[in-house]
Amino acid sequence: MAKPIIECRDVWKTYSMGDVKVNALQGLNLIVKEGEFVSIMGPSGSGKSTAMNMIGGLDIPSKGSIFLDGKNIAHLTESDLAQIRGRKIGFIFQRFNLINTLTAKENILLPMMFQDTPLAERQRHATELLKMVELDDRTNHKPNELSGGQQQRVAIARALANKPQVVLADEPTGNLDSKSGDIIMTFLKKLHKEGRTIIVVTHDEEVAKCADRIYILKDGTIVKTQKGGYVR
Amino acid sequence: MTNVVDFVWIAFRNLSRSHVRTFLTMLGIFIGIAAVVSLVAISQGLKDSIQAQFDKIGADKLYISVKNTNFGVGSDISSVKLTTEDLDRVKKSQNVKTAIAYNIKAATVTVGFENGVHYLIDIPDTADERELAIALNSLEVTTGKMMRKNDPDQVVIGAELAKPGLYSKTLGVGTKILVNGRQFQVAGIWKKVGDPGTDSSVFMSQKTLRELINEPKLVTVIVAQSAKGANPLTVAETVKKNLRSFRNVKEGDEDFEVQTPDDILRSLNTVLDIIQVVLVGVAVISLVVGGIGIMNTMYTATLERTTEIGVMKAIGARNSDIMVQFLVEAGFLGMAGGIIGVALGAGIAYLVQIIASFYLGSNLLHVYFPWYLIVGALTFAFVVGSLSGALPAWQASKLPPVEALRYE
Repeated sequence: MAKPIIECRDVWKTYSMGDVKVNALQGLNLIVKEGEFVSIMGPSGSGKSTAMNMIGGLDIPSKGSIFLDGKNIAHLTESDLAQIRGRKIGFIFQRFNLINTLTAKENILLPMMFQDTPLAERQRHATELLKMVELDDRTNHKPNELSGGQQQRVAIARALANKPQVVLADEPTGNLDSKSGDIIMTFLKKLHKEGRTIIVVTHDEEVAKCADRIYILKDGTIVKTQKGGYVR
Repeated sequence: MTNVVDFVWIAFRNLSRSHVRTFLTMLGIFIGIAAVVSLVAISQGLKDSIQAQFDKIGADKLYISVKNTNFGVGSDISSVKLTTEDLDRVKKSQNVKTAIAYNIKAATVTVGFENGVHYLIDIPDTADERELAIALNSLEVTTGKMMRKNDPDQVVIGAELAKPGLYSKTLGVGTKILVNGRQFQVAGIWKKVGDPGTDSSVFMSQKTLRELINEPKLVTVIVAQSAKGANPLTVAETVKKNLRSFRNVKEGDEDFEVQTPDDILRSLNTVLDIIQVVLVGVAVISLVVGGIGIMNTMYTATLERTTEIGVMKAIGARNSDIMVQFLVEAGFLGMAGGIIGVALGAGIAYLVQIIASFYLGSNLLHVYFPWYLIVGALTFAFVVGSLSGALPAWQASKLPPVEALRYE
């Protein structure tokens, strides 16, 4: 039995909007096991993004605990969270979010820079990752010289730079045409096959179905858990 | 902590995304630095050349003149005068080895049908005194020859007077001119000394000048040389005392002054220092304005790159990493501005040196770049840049990653 890599226990997130308090998450309970491919699905306003921010350590909950690899990260400082994010989580964003002034390869080097990886090792690993996402002929291209699909592949490579335990993808195909989207999902499936934990936050049923397990989120809490359609 | 080289590399990439903005931002800094560097180099060079001139004259000289008269320029309006009797008193003072006197008077010079006003300077008529006067003023005849002692008809002119175009008829050896209506012939021309006053004066025998102005005893400046081993300051006091009793004035009410080269040098340096402080102050203000330019650019960058800051944080950048990144960028702007500024400032200073040597005809002004000026200017530029970037950098580093990522 695989051990849980992420566990949310009764997580609440409350935003104050003037005098009104809005509960984005209302007692979220969720477990993701090591090596699992999980989708978090829900309509807009259901708390998907907030949930992703909590799991990824981009934000801290108002109440509750979040365990990442056995460690409660719910009350860590921003700098400690940054370290953990950098090492353990690889982010893939809907809008790719590559740094426009840097080349494809330099974008992949960046996370390793923040972890003080030795220079030679960074270079070697970045080249390897570019090859893996089949963009070794686009090494020195800047994001604006790449198609959306290619940019997202660079983003995947960047997410993998520090060999994270979890890859967290927020609507990874949301800004892509269906063909490019399929390619991205194929890559994510491939990563899963290689043993990585993948969490995809999406409102797209087709994407969600790729996972082993789908959590359906509504009003800031999990209302349903169902098996995914993805067969290894 | 992430390697500084990495930050510099990213800073370089970020700054090159908008060449024009980067250039304009640096402009403020490099104008300021160029101004500081060139001003300091020129005024330091000026001080050095003045020092060199005074070294040439020697520290053992005393200059005695009527009070409130600019050094070297005769006072036509003052009723107070020095005379040969004062000269004798000075000569007789203890520890004065020798003393000479010379006169400086404005006069009308007529060349053909044209008139001009120039200074007349006389040269003593005894061999020793003559030699001393020539040495003191660094004079040397390059064309023609020196006039004879007590020569009633001949003059030697400064190099500027011999310049073609000054008068329709270019002055040269043998040219006849009228000085205050009396005819003289040009015997020789001095080599250019670089002092416009000396270079455009007419030199004649002391006796002749006194005859010409009908002042048989007048003395404008007395230059005394202290005896070997004597302290020029003590000698100056003795001379002052003697002249006071001779001229019957009380201490503090002197109508004359005795200056040593050190005094003159000090007062000149004080003037130069004041000018330098004022000019450098103005230049520093422009640097502050340059710093505000950097601050503005960095604030704009914080806004422009908000999402990017969020991404950097998401992939593992700590607050300190973002802070250092922005600081390095601002410092880099300052530093690059500083380097261009130092180069530009050096160029301006050398240009001034070339222009000065062209117009003054001498290599008196050597601009001076001490290492501390260059290192100081660069450090200052970097510090101005970083300080200006500090606030925007701090603001950028504090951005919560979630909000930064959501920013459109």
